[in-house]
Amino acid sequence: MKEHQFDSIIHAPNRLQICALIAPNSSVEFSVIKEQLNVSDSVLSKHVKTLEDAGYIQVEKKIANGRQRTWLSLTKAGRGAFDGHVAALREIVG
Amino acid sequence: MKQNSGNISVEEAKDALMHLDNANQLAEKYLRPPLVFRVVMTFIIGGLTYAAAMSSGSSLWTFVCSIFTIALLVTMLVHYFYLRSQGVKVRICPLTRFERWFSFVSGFVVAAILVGAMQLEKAGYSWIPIVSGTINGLLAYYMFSNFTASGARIKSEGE
Repeated sequence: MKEHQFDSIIHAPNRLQICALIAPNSSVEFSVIKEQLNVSDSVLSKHVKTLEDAGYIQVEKKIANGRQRTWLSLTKAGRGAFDGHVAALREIVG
Repeated sequence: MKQNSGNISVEEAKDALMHLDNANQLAEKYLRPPLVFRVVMTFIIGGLTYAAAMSSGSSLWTFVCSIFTIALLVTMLVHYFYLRSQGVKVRICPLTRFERWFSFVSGFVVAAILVGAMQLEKAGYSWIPIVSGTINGLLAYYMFSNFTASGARIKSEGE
């Protein structure tokens, strides 16, 4: 049976929500997540950097119509870690 | 408590799952297509089913069927690019086993109703096209209202 892995990096509430907002999609813009979570640029950047350093999130900056857009997507490792973490939480709750 | 649980209590896990549910609800909200899109899709898929059921031996209905198919593709593309302009790139291919199964079953049901309607209309049941068109249209509305990408994901708990 597959062992679900608790992940302390993802466990922080904001980081868990960032992963949950990106997970159903291919990628989501930084500003969308900021608006949904109602946090400041600096707070979100800090969490995104932590997830990026862990190899869970890929950050892509693109310029469209003269405006820079920052797209966030879950890496394969990030998706696996997120799914494993959620499953581990559900196992704990029972 | 499990060894890999990072020594968190059941309450902390419940709290984390509550944050997760909150994020899933937010994702549901921004991924759900607007009402106008759902109504347009209902008419297009209903119309496509009706036209397909009427198309045997009729070049006019075959033509109408093609128009509905093009309209379906255009509407899907418009929605895709609308979400993209709003900062969300939707996944095209299902990722998990549950999502693949869900996509296959829903596609199969719609296709089965469509093919069944074509066969039954040929057999002389003239009321079948309108009934099958209504069923497929309402089915499409229900799916677009309740099973967005995250909806399918939320229901894949434990995978």
